[in-house]
Amino acid sequence: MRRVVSTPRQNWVQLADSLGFKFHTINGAPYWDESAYYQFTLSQIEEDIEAPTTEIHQMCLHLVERAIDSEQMMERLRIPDYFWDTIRSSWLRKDPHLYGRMDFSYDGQSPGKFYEYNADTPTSLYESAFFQWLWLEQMIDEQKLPVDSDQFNIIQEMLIEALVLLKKQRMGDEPLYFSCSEGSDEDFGTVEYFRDCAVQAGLTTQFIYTEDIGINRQGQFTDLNDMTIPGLFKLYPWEFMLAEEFSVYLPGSDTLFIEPPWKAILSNKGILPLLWQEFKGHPNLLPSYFEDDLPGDDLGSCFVKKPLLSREGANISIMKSGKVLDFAGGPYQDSGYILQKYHPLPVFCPSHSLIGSWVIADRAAGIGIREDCSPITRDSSRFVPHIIAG
Amino acid sequence: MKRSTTLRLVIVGTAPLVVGGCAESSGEALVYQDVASCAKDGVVSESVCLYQYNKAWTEHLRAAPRYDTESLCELDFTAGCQQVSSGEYIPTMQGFMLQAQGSAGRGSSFTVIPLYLGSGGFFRTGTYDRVSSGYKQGKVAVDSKVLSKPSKPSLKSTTMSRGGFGSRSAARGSWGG
Repeated sequence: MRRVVSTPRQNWVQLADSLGFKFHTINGAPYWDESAYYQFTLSQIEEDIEAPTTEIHQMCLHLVERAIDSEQMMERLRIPDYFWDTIRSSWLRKDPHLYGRMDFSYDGQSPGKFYEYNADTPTSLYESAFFQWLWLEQMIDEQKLPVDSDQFNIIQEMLIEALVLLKKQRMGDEPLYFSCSEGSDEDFGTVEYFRDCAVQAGLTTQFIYTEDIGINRQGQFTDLNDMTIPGLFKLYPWEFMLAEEFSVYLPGSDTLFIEPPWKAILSNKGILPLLWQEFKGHPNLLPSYFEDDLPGDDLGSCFVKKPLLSREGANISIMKSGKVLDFAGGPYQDSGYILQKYHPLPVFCPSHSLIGSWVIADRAAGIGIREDCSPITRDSSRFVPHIIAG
Repeated sequence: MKRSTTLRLVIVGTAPLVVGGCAESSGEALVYQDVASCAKDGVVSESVCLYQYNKAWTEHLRAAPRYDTESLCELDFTAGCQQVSSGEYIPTMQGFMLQAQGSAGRGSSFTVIPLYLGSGGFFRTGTYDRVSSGYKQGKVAVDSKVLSKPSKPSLKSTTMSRGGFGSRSAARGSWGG
């Protein structure tokens, strides 16, 4: 694994603009960055990323299986009790899930360490699945990369396959609604990309802003034309929905949600200590504990403190011998914390890099890499493409 | 190979287009709802069915009739018009029609046309030419009988209130994950 400096394609900005990638630059700062790429060997990809991703996903499903029958675990995860039955039945019904992104710290040599699972509303899907793929195809076409260069990326293909299955098993010709909050180019771009894949899979689709969702007398969710919503892809986290006015209608709703309610278990950082309890010593796991539990000696004196519910690196602090070494501010102060042994991101001069490993349905399907000058990656981190060679 | 060999976008941005053929309709054609019914009919092989279906799908995405509003679209076509990135609405492809090219009977090459269900239950082309009844599969004379296909996407109801989700986004700014 190495970082290689590379010349950006001449027309990439226009290309991005014309392909719905409006958030290639965020608040004036570059987000998509092809002035470099990461190069992996096939065995690094297959043995060190793909295999652990598949395995950890299975371990996570095992945890869900246990959590749905354990009030104690649901309490630990601070999931409100009125939602427990909804989660339980969504799991027992095998409500389909489409995607998630596991974050790994990996340096190309020692086993990758699992940081967390963004299992409900992961970002960077479009750039990982499509734009990164296009970059490699064009770099090969322009003879800037050898023809046998490859990439770990069947994300879009697997996504469409999962959506075909969703149509066959659940949606039929009923419309699947795609929703996100108003006012974010990135969210809208991601949702439209998802809808594109759904159309390719033959699904009937609609779009609705999260804020526009209504409720009818029977307690069913409705669109702006007062039509009931049979299926809803929501780019809006479960923990937000559970804290809001319409949450009371969730248990009685007939809407098929994607991601499904049971993903609320996996998108919670509380699964990190639960995984460590269950699979202590696993080479890809870091020692993790709930803050209000007695930590084991394996946590060490240098650890990371993360809120149970947080995103984009918000409210994360790195602690060393009781002192705060680094801190990312944010709004998530109210959900309890977990502690995770500090395992710094590898530094590929000049950047810290984090590997996002995509799980589509139940399969490891590709990666995307985020870089940051700071050891805590956050929403300002740059996305850098990758290749497999050698 | 660890990556997909081909990918495309169909509604996001201005994706490259694949242009399909256009056909003069006369005499007999083959009409199917999907690949399975095509393969079952046995006139053409399953792989040809799949290939032609995909061609129809591409042509559908390229050339489906576009409407400014969903209700206008659904006046012409039943069940499930979809919004595309331009904001316009297109009908859902419900079938495809194969016509042997040239005057020869069953040649190896076909012109394929996506079909939609128009009001009244007829398969119609994107230009609203009536093809055949909605459930008749296989060989048809163009312009034949009526049959309806009921399909309701979701139920009309009365909305009591809105805005019960989405309050946290403004308060919390960017989140994602």
